[in-house]
Amino acid sequence: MKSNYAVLLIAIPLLVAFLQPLFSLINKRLTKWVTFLTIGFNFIYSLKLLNYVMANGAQIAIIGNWKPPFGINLYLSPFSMLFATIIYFVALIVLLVYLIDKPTEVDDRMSIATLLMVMASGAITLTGDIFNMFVFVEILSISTVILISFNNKGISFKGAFRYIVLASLGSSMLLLAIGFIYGSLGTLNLASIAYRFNLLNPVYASVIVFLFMAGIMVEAELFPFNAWVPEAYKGSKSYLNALLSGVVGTTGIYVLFRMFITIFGSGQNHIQVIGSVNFNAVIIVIGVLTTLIGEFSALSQKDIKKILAFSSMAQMGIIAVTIGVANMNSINAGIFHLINHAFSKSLLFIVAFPIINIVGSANIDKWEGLGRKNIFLAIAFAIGSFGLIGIPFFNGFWSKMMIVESVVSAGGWMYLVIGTILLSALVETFYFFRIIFKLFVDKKIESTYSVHIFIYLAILILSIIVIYIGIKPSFLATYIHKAAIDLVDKSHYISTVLGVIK
Amino acid sequence: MISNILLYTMIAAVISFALGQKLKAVRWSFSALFLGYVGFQLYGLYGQWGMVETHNIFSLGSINFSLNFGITKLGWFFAFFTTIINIMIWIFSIVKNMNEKEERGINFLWILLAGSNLAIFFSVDWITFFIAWEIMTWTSFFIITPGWKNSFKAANWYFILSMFGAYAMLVGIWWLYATPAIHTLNIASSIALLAKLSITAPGTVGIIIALFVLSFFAKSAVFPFHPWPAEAHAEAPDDFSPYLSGIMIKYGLYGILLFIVPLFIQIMKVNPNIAMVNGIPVYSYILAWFGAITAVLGTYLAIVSNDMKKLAAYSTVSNIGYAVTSMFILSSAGVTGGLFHVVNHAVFKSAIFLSLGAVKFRTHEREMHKLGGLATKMPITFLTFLLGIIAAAGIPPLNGYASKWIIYQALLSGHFPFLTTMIFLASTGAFLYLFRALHSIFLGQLPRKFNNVKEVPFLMQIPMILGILSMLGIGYAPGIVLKPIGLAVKAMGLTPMTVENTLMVGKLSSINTAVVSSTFIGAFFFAFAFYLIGKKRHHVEPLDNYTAGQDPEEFGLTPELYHFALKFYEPVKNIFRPIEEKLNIKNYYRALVRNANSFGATLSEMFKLSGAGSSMIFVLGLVVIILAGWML
Amino acid sequence: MKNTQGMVNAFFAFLLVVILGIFFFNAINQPLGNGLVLNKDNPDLSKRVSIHYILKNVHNAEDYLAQHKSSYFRNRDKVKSSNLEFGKTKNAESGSANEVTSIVVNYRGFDTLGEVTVLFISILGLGMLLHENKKKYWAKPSLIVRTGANFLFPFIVLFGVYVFVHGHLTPGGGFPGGTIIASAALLLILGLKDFKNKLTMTKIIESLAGLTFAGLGLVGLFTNGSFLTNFLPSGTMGLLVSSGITALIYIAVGIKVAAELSSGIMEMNGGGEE
Repeated sequence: MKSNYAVLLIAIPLLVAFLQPLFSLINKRLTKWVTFLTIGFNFIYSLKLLNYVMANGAQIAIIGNWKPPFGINLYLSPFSMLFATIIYFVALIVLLVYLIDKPTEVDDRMSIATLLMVMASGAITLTGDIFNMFVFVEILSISTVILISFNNKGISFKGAFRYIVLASLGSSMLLLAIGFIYGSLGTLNLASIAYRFNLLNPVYASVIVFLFMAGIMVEAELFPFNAWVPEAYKGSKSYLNALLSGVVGTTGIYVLFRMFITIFGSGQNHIQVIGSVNFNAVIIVIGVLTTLIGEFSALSQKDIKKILAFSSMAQMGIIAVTIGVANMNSINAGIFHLINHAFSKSLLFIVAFPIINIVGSANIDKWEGLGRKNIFLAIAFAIGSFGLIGIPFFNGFWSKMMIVESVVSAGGWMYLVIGTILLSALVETFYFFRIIFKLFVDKKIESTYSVHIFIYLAILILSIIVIYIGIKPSFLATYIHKAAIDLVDKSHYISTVLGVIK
Repeated sequence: MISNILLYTMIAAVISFALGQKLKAVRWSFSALFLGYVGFQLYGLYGQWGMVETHNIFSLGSINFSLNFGITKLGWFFAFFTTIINIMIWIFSIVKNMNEKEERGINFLWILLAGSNLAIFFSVDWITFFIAWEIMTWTSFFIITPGWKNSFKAANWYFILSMFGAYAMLVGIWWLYATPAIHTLNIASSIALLAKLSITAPGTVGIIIALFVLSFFAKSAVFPFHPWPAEAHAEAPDDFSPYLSGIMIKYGLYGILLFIVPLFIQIMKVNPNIAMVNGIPVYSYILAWFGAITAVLGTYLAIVSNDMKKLAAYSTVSNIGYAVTSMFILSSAGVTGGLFHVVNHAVFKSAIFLSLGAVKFRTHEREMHKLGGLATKMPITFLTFLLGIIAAAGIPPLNGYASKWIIYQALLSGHFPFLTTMIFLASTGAFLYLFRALHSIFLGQLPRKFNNVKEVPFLMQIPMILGILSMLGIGYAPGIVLKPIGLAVKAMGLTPMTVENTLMVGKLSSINTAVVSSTFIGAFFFAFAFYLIGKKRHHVEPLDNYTAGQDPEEFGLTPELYHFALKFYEPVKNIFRPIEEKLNIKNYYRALVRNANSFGATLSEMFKLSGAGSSMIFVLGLVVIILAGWML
Repeated sequence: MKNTQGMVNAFFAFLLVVILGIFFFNAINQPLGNGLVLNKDNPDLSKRVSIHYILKNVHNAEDYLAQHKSSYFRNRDKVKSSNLEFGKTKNAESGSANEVTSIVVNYRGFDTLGEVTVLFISILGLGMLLHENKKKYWAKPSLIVRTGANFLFPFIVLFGVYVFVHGHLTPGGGFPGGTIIASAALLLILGLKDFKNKLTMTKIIESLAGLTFAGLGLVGLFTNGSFLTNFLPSGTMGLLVSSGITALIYIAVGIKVAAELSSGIMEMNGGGEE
């Protein structure tokens, strides 16, 4: 019954979030620290659980003493715990920067929103119940809106408004899908949905999948459901964008992985032809379009936040392609790349924060000469972009290699897909190298902004991770290997949750 | 052993980075010394053929990533010669960078580049090769453009084309791996298996070859990728241009020799159905033509350029053209000639670029019409350049002659009259631009502002002198280089040419270079004697003879406007202008980039719609996806 | 011109929605598949998991599933159920007489915790957006409103409290009860001339109520090994003191919702403490 305690990952942050208004009465800055410590607890505890499930296999945590499929349960597996851990970790690093950012009037609300957002993302990865997932997606999207609209100014308002419009459209699609599922299968438990999904009338099933896809792709930043991305990123603070990309985007893609491969997919060969619709093809096309649009749009931008926003969109597209290709290698590659992207992109967003403060502008043309002023930040930015582009011996290289391998080995029209992806990758390489070049241009920058030690600490930790994964990817490989096996093994998922059936 | 060397290289790069810009003399000397040590180690590795070192990185799913280094004859040959040339260049760099106001911190990148250079030549599987290739690409990008705006534009030519090639190769590598009949990442076994596969699936093999060829051609600036060297060489740091031209541009040729040429040779052996032209596969013939076009095009572009570094860069392009043409003849002489020309070109072109670097070091000018008459002021530099262009033009007794001789042997004995004509045309054209460059820079009238120019410091002269000696040495006794080349050629499955130290035996004729060299050196001294006893020239101010004694300043004239090198080949340019206007590859590339930018700008407009607009996109997208999903 | 554009947009959007609608309609009217239990005309509740919530025989169903494996899914209605009688049944697995409450707070209490959080974060966001807003939009109250507000306030609060205290017995519960109380607060704002926002107080109440909810869940976790377990005896179904923590949680939810919505209204009333 030890695994039941995993619910603490959700309960403790909730409890703390409810208490935060009291803390804020004492001191608004205190709420930041409380949030930080809570996420810290979550990270440590999830790390412990991750090692536990790595050793002992998947577990479930039941809630209210009602066993699945009757009650709500959490599903703790290498895959879900891995991503919960990464989400908590990224959030922890971001909060390190948030702690020392200059205090504002709305700090208490911001820290509650951050806490709930991270909690919800973790809960989405852990939950084994589709309606529960919906509830947490709601919490996630509302708290994200709060984060985006932090300063009540025009641009962040605009971004937040766009996000909330699309997020509510998305949630209504999700709710419709859940309604259809409950109406037809009579259950909300993911395992029993997985068990009985192929019994559905194919047309009906494809409607459910379409709706679900539309709903979750808003969070996963995939075209055409991602119109919120650039404006929302632009409106938000740079380091908080690390949360948008590293937490919200990661969660969205996680759900896509879980739903399309384990729940809706048909198990053995991971082919997701539902009804007469080839969902592999649909997702691949969406992914390729997202990548193409993201990279080319980023090429034409000057604002660093928008560039990074478009770039994360494009990376999500690449990962979506791996979901569509859905052979074992591509799933490995997709998980690997999702992790790498979370680290490198967070690094970039966090580095961008002090740079914007030093230079006084998010416009990359104004960044010229930063490397001469603060070499550490410039190098950290280079490391982050190298990780993202996939320069050898940085983390993204291995995952991109695996993606190319898996897509090419799928053959057929995948050659077109890989061609488009690599064209986009070329564009991405170009605009990142352009920024790095600008950093080292000869130019004097006058600034009195001094970078706080915590920012350096956050940057240092992420840089070390990016490089360490690049040099020694084998330590992550064991986790990814188990996670991928957990992901594709549909019958194992069902039997872990529902007990052995047949 | 190899991995130790590579590890030391990384450590050396870190040390160099840590030394910082204050200690620039120390870091450059350190790197030169370090490379000397590496060269020594490499020399010790000679003969350990077939040794392989494996380092597992990780395995996930069905792929196992590992780094495999081994010593092949071709690889050792390239690694050793490039390292020697690199040491020469770095000796030059010590003084050059000591006197530079800001040294730009490229040293540690360059050490990494030197390391990846070795890794390319020692990698025995495609993953390692690709990793080394990528590291080489990005480090060289940042060396070419260490923070100068002009150089960034130039480096982009190089970088985008290179990355395009690299990605083509990446697809090629995984396509190889994904093909069930091959399913290997080892270079040597992939050649054998591909050759076998060409019997049953010629289409697949053709595409894979095309992907690799794209990559190698892009790196070596073969047509249609020829625009980048001129841009990159011209704007790169002056001490990096020799490396760029002498070593880096050869990686593509190395790839061709490593993979494409042996593959064609294998295919000819095992596949009887292959379509042939003149005894070589038709693909090879087409690729040889690409080389020939490059040679002619490079020559033309060199003729019409006024920038001395661009001129030398285009000359490099045309020399690459000779080598490519020669290699794709696939005969023993052809491959030997190509390989030999690669070495010779590395030697004489780095010498040329070093001397140009020396000129620019003292004068800070790149345009040829602003220079002139430097021969007396900078004698060693002049001598280096003189011998360099003699070698480049393929005149005995220097090394360029020897390799061109073999190339002509190969082309004629293989009965390729049209290719021979092209190469001959390019070779003749080389005289036009080379002697123009010599005359514009070193001969003629010395502009007044350069009256105080001195010869470069002795340390910078050392590499130039070494260059002179090796050009003469290889020209006198080509066997020194041809013997190791013979080993490499033999490893490809061809019978190597018969060579001795000073004797080359071709199919059509044979030649004793010692006799040729002695004759020419004798003739040189004979002519030099005339120079000594003849009348000394009368020194005239540049504008003295143009304005009939009037003060040129009144007309707003400058010596530069009346420099004979200005618009020297304007008539030639005029002849080809109609073609150039219609068929300028550079404009196509520029248009591509422009369109990519505006395409991106258009796409990003989509994300500026209002909330209502974005929800419209949402619903419209959903409808389209559903409809498309059901159609597909 | 702008209007025309808007019309075109609206028409276009309408068209898209119609297409989607046709699509869904078509999908729903497809012939029934094997596992399809959706029947528009005559929905069969016994095919859904909620039948066990209504019959309060989830534990029996768990045993049945463990014994009969996959055949359970075809024979949900064969799961044994005990007789339920209002006011008599003791120690039912979920003690509240109101079936909706037993689902919302007991069987799926975790979702409710989430929903409470959704409300919490929404009000928080509202406060965030309005935190610079110091205006009061209300018109001056008339005599009738003032008198009515003073008079009705205690009754509305009393009714609200009744609704959530009896949440486990009668229709209603925490959410409607809380909303009713919040409407009393709204009435006060409308009716009183010099109403003072009491955001600090609502914050404290809200926090404590939330603490109670989550805390009760944690107590269940630490005593019975599972979050939100009903660790109190569920008593006789239908009595006021019954159904264990379900009643307590619903009271907490009621207070929390009341405080949250009131604070939301106060935020709109200019926010701050003045």
